[in-house]
Parts: sequence; structure tokens; C-alpha cells
Amino acid sequence: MSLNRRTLLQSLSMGAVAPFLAPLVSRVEAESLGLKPMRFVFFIEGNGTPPAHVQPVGIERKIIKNPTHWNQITAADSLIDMPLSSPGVSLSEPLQPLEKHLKRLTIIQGLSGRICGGGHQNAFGALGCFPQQAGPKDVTIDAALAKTRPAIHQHVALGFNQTVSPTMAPMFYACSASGPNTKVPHYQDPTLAYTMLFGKIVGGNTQGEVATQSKLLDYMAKDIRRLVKALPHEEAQKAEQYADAFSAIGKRQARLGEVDPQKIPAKRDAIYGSMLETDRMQAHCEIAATALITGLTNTVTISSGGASYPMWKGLGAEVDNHALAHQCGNNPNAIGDGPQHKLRAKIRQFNTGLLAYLVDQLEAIPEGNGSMMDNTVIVYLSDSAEDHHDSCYEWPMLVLGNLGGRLKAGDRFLNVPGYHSSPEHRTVAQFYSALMHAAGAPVEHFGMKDRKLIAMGNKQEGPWTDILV
Amino acid sequence: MTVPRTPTRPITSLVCGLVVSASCMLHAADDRAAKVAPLLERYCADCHMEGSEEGGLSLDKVHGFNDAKPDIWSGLHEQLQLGHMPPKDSDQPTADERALLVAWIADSLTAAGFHVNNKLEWPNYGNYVPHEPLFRKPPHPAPATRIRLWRQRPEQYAARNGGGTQAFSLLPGQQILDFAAIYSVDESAAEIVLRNAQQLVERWTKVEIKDGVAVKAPGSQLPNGAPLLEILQPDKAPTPEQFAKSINWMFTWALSRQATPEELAEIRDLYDSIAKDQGPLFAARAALTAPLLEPEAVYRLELGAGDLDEQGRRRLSKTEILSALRHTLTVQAEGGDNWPVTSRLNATGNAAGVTLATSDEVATLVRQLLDAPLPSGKPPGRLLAFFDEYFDFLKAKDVFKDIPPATTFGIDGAIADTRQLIASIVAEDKDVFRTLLTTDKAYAGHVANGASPHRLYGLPADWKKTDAAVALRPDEHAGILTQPAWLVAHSGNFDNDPVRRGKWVLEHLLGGTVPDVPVTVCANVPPDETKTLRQRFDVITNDSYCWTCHRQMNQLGMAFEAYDHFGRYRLQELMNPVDASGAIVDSGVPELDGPVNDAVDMIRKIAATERAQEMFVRYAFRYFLGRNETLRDAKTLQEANRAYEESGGSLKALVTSLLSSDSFLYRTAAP
Repeated sequence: MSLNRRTLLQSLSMGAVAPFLAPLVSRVEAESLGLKPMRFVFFIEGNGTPPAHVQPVGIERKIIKNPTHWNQITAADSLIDMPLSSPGVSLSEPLQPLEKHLKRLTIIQGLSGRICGGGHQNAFGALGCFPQQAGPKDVTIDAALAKTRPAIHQHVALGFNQTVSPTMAPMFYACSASGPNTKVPHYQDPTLAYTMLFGKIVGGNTQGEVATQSKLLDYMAKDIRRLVKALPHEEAQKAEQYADAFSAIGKRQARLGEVDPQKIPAKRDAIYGSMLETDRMQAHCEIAATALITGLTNTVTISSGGASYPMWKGLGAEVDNHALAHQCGNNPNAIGDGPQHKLRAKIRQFNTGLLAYLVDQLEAIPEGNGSMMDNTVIVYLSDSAEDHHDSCYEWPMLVLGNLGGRLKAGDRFLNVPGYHSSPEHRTVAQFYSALMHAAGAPVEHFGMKDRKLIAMGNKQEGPWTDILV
Repeated sequence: MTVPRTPTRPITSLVCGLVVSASCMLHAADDRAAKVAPLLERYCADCHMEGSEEGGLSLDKVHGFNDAKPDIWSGLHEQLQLGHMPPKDSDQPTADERALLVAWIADSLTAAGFHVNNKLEWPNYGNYVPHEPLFRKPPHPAPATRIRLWRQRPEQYAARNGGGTQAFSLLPGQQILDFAAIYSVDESAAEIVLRNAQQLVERWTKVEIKDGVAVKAPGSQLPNGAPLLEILQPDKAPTPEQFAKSINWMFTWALSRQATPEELAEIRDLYDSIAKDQGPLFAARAALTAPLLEPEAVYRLELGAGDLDEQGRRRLSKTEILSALRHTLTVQAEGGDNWPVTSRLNATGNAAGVTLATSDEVATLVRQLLDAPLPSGKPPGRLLAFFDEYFDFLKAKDVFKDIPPATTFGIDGAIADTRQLIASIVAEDKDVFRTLLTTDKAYAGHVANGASPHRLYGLPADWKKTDAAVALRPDEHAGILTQPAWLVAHSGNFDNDPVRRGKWVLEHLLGGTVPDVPVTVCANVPPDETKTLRQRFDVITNDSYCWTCHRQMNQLGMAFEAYDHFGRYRLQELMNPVDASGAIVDSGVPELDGPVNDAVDMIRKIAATERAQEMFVRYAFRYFLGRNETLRDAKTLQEANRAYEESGGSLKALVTSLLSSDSFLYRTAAP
């Protein structure tokens, strides 16, 4: 499809949520359109992020009995907004690895996402702001942002899911969707992900192979499209999707020459082939960093045991996260002293360590007057909101980076007013709307609104402006 | 932007604030629009009218489809299609009127470029097709399956991907896993398919040149007898005959058929184009890869090669039928378990006298396939796998139990016990369904002694482990639903789960439907060690809002309180006699409704009904046809039910009937 500056900008301003952009508009094209480089990373950890885990030491958190649920929730009376570097304030233990990136770190408490439903996890709802049942109802925020910054791979998704074995299911579908019912697959096996993303680049792709491949893929796409005519509507779509896949792969592979093989580190078999979750997550983060650094993609979603109950054997866990959360008494508001509490904090610390690793990698690559990290935002959350048994009345998040100064973020603690406390309460959906604004593709409202909040006088109109410059 | 859904309070609670009436666009080209407006006026406008719009939705002045509000139309489509609207106590449209509304909205949305969910095609929504017309009305004379692409099951793909990476997986959480409507091959999967194909061809085409002739190189895995060297010769373009021989061999290997002359010509063009610019080896490899990427390599393609009949259907050809049966009846199993079936299919394919032109001929073949003794001595794997999905007890493995730890609890053993019980009943092939539900027989040989199998099955304390069947107390146990594997699978981590248990009974045995969980529900039972689960449940689900949906499920599920969440029979809970009473409510079978003493009482009552058996036939249809039944399939279901009945409850008779039915053998462009 031909795409000119006018239609692209039009689509961005209209919201860019329709499947409008061809999946593989080149990065070069995007840059020629004057789009600032931007990178988006979503890091999803399973089984909930208790607010107590991320609350800075030295800042008081008001906790109340939830008037409309059995749990206790964070309920600031009004917006709390202060620097993390304030005197007497320090990061909680699970967030220690991020201490060195304090200037880039924003901790957000109190956003709600009731529309997702809660329970144990919110599936595609966590990134899409719609009810979790029955698959993705629309595009999720990561995929929507990906569409604003096309690249060779529009969207790379990686991670592990404890409920399916990597050899039986090399890919799983957990949290990302590029449209209604269009799930984005996560590579589960790091070796496979490495091979599929970088194999042809590091393997030396001779001219003969490239040209042959391209002719074969053209032939297949054409061959399959002949079948489309013989099929009723729904089935024709399936055949078209298969044909489109070969066209897209062809276009993508033809551009692999743009990627510098020197920037791709060798695959470390010891961790790539390991069955330990810790090793695999390290491998996935290496792949994510490489994919961003080489320009292969601008958007990565990493699922660290999302949509499942991982057992972090590499960190000494002998039970899965489900049981661990139960052993911790299902109380998101305490970091206790028991070994189970310590283990839970250690698991979080491992994951925030991976965030720090990603920042380190992107900081090491110069871009403009600074580094790649300057034009990046990393959003960390759990698909299970505030706890293993989540109610979604609050959804703690971490943000690293400020997207080239488009977000008012870094060295900042933000606690929005509690769900029941004030019409100034803000939702996850409004935060995502703000991200779309920052990416230059503003939407009126991302996802669905919370109708109970509307009834309480909170219309949730527009993006969450506190995070926008 | 989004497709809304809630069950009991549908559009109203979802599209708050949106009023359609003002900015309607009439689709002039669609004359159905004129019929639709009065229907909306008549059935919807009482509640949804300007001034008194329920939930802010006004439908009284809608004159046509409005593509600015796809949310509303999607919601309307679903609510009407699933029968959630108009509310039960309101005036209902006739079936035809409802169908007209549903079709018109779907077509309008599609024409405007919006995706329409047709939930009636999804695995967990089959029960929304009304039961009575399927079994008690004169059926449509000519059932057929809509032409479809049915993605290969992962195991089928694995059998032909040359040892490469698995590209497909099945979605968990579906009552029947392998449904044609929900799977397609996306870009990531296609890329893996491509890579597998290229790696396979590369392994097979390693050649070295000796005396100017290409021969197998060391390390080449070219199968013996594969005529591929002909097109791998350097400096010598293959003759048309050599080319056809090589390509046809690949087609046969990958797709069990020869290439058509057109395909051969086109692949030759591809070959020539690459050979000219990149050389013959690249060209040969590309040409040999193409068959491995054909749609048939990833999809079951049964278009119906027969002539169009008066009913707008095409019958599958002999080749298509054999392929369909191969897909339906074989699994990738150890020990060559498929071999007798495959050899019989191959022999049939080669037998010139066998045309498979009549249902009887197909039935005879299916019967032979089902009767072919397998090396393992077990019943055919695909028959047994049906019960894994139907009873849905494998997920017991995923239910984490704190105390005693899962390892000593031995859930794998309990699952193996249940599978053995199912296999023995299927092998017997008599009154299969009712025996599964009511037998007092069990196997207890797989649970480790440390996990106290006698306690799990309520056997005497001095019971000695045996591989033979044991008899349980018939007042304590009745069939699969009282087996630990099923009870654990349908429990929570720390408690019984009457909702999951009741839902299974409601859907699988009574044919009931359960709407999607509404957004506003937070499904948590408050922990309180001083109260029984029944008492804690009463607090939340007896709320009138919850009770609408939970009334049926909970009362069915509470009858299983005679078992704890490990599936052990118990007489006491919290030091008091356990209360295992329940009730069957609004089942659609009037004589069945009423209180039940416990699960055993309930199961025996339900198992005796026609309804339960007919539901079993419906689920078998879904499994073997890979789709939900429609009203057009009534003839197939009635005949299958009759075959089962007349054979004294033979599963083989039931499957034979399904696989020789018009639904299985005919294709149509429109459902």
C-alpha cells in the first residue's frame, strides 16, 4: 500500500487505532516524515504488583477499607506529586536495582482499571482497557503505539508463560493485540526468537538467498490468493492472512540488509537454552535490547510470567507464584518479614533488575545529543493489577524514561487520588491516552470507560495530563 | 472503538450516553432496512426510547444502520443473537424476525468494514442453538458444513513438518479445543512454517558434484527413493518429465496428492526465473519448498469436489473423504498406533472399486477403521481424547493444592486412573455415556501409595494396591464426575468450586447456557474458616444481581459438597454433617426439576434423561466436526442419536453415524 505523509499524519491524528498502516512501513519512511524516533517497551510481570512493593520509603500512603470491595486500597485524598530524590525518601527494597536510574524513574500509584474485571489476571485487558473475557476486543496500547513508529518488525513480543511448555508451544498469546481478535504472539523460546529475529542477519544472507526467498514468497502469496476467490467471506480472510503473511515476511526480509550484524551479540546457549525462568528472562531482555538497538523494531512487549503462575526456581522458589501470594496472606499492603514475603520481594527485585539492564543497554547507544534511552519509555506493570487476587481499584506502575521529553517523568512519585476519594481520580486508560498523545497520535479515550466512575461524577475525559508535558 | 458485551444487562449498561436516533444513515441499497425499523420499534423501543432510554440507549427512531456507532450495533448483534435481549419477561420476536435482525446487523457491520464476532461459531457457545428443534422437529433435508479452512492440529502439523519447530498451539479454556472457526495462520506462525520447510529442503538437497554429476552429499537426509536428484543437476535444466517427477514426489509427501498441471507450470516458471538469475540449486530448492507452503500444508481444505446438488451443496470426493477421515481419526501416537487405520485408508484409496459415493459405503469404511485393532490394544486415541476434552479433567494438573503438596497428592495418578476407567468403558462400547456417568467401578492403581489412594477413592484402609478395577460404594460414587481427577479439575486451590462444577453439569448434561461474566463481577469468595463454603457463597451470589445467572449453577454444584476439594468423599464439614443438598432448576426437562440429596442422586437422575444423552451427541458432533451444530444439522444429530440408541449405546455406532452424515460429507458456500 502506498503511504504518503498526508495520510500517515491524518491517521495519527485520528487515533491510529484502525488497522490503517501497513504493518511494514519502513523506519526510513517514518523518519522522512519527520517523526521523532521513539521506542516503547512494556514489561508485564504476572501475579500482581502490590502497592507496598513500589511505595517509596519515607512517603506515607493512605490506606482505607475499600467501600465497594472486601480489600484495602490506596486512597490519597488529592494528588501527591513529589521528587523521588526528596530528602528522607528512598526506594523500597524490590526497586533497589533502579536506584541508579532514579532520574529516569517515575512511580505511579492509584490509577484504576476496573473495566478489566480483575480476579487473577486481566489478559488483554491490562494493556487494552476492556473487559478481560473472551479475547481482545480491540488494539492494546503497546500495539497501538507500535503503529505510530513502524519498523522492520512492527512489534516484537517475548517472554514466558508457565502454563505452556516452550517446546510444545513456541509462542503464546497473553496480553497484546493489534486489533479485535488479533492477538500478537510472544516468542517463548529465546533460541527460536533469536533465530527468527536475527538468524538471517548474523547467518550471512547471500544475495542469491535474498532474491530466491523474495521470488518464492511472491509466488506463494500469489498462489494462495487464488484460493481466496473460492471461499466464503470468513474463510477468505484466513487465506488472505496467510498470503499477507508471506508478503510481509518478504518485505521484511528484503530489508534485513539495513541491520548492522555487528550490533547483534552472539547467542549465549547457556542461558538461551536453559529451562530456568531467570535465565530465559535474561535472554529475552538481551533479545529485546538488541532488537531495539539494531532498529529492527521500535516496540517490544516482554511478559515475565504474565497470564500464568510461574515458579521462580532460579530464585529459590519451591512453589508457584499463586501459592506464594496465598502464603503471603493475599495482603498487597504489607511487605512482611517472613521468608515468603522476602521471596516475593526478591522476585520483583529480579524483574526490576531486568528493567535496569534494559536502561543500561539503551543508555549505551548514542542518539542525537544523548542516548537511545532518551527517546524511549519503558512501562512496567502487572497484568494482575495490584495483587495476585486483583480488584483493579489501583494499578501500580513504573515508568522509565520520558520519550524525548514528551512525558513529564523521571525522579517523580505520583499518587493519584483514590477511586472513591475524588473526581480527580485517574484511570489506567487515561494514562494510556496520555502515552498516545506523547507519541503524537492523540486519542480521545483509549479503551473503555469505567461506568461506575461516570455515575460517581468522574467522566474520565481526555488523557491524564499530570504525566504530560 | 470497542465491541461491548455483557450478558444480563446488555447494551443498556454499555453504551451509556449514546443516542442513535439523530444521525442515522439509511442504507438505501438494503431493502431489509425497511423491515428492521418496525422490529426495533416494536421489541426494543419500550425500554430504549428517547426520554426513557434504559442505560442511555434510544432505539425508537432508528431508521437504518449507523456506521458511526459500531459499538451499539455490535452489542445489539450479540444480545439478539444469543437471545439475551429483549429481556425474558418482554414480548419476544419470532425466530425469523430475530434471524432477520441479526443477519442485517452483521451484514451492515461487515459492509462498513467492521469485524463481527459470530459467537455461535465459537466453542463455548454451541448451546445457544435451541435444543428442541434439533431433536424434535422435522429436520432440514440436506445438512452440510460451510466451506472452511480448518487449521491443522499441532500434532498433524508436527507429523509433516520434518522435525522442525511447532508452529501452532491450541487455545486452552475451550470446551472443545480444535474448532475450525477460531484458528488461523498468522504471520509469526507462517514464518516458522517457512523456516521449517526451507530447513527440510536444505537437509534433503545437500549434493556434491562428482564427475559433473550431482550426487547425495555426506549428511544429506534425502529419503531413499526420493527422485529429487533429477532437478539438482548442475548446468542442466531438468526435462519437464524430470521436473514433474521431483515436484510430484514433494506434493505427495507433503499433501498426499499430485500437483495439478497448472501448479506444475507455475512452479516451473518460478524455477526458471530463479535459475536464470541465481542458479539452478537455488531454483530447485525454492521449487521443492513451494509444496510445503501450500495452504493445504497448514489447513484442512475440504471444498467439495463433487457436483453442485439441488440444495446448493457439493459432496466431498473420495480423496477428500479419505483425507478428512485421516485427520479426524488419527493422532500422532507412539507405538505406531495409527498404522492399521492409515493402511486401511491407503488401501481404500488404491482400491479402484471403492468409490465412497454413498453414505453406507463411508459408514462401512469408518466402522472398519474404528474396529481395526491397534498395537496398544486401547480404543482409538481420538475417541479417548474426546473424553479428555468433554470431561475436561486434565486441567486438574493446573489446580494447585497447598496441603498436601501436589507431589504427594498424586494428581497425575488420579488422572491416569480416570483415563483408564474411560478407556475400559469405551472398549466395552455398551451404554457408554450412562456408564461413564453412573458406574461404581474405578481404577486406583496409578496413585502412589504415599498419597493414600484408598482415602481418595473411599476404599477400606487395608486395601492393597491393584491394577484391576475396584468397586466403590454406589451411594458414594457415580462415574467420572465423582472421580478425584474431575473434582479437583473443577475446584479451586483451597476450596471446592460449586460454580465450576455446576456450570459443567448445566452446560454438558442439561444444555444450559451461562452468559460471560459481567464486568461488574469480582469473583471472590471471602475467606472465613468458621463458615462452610456454602455459607460463604450464600453471602455473595444470593445477591439478586448474581442470582440471575448463579441460581442454576450453584444449586447443581452444591450437590458435590459431599466431596472435599481433593475429591474425597466426606460426611462432615467443620465438625458438622455435610450438607450436600442441591437442586435442578429450570432445566428445560420439567420432570427433572426439583431438589436432589447429593451429587450421586443428581447424576443418576440426569443420566436417565433423553436430554443428557442428546447433549452428549451434540458435544460429540462438535468434537468430530470441529464446529457447533446449527439447526440445519438436525438430521445428522437425530440419526446419530438413533444409531447410538439402537446399538445399545455404542460410541462407535455414534461416531460412524456422524462421520458418514451429510454434515460431514457435504460442503456449502452458505450455512
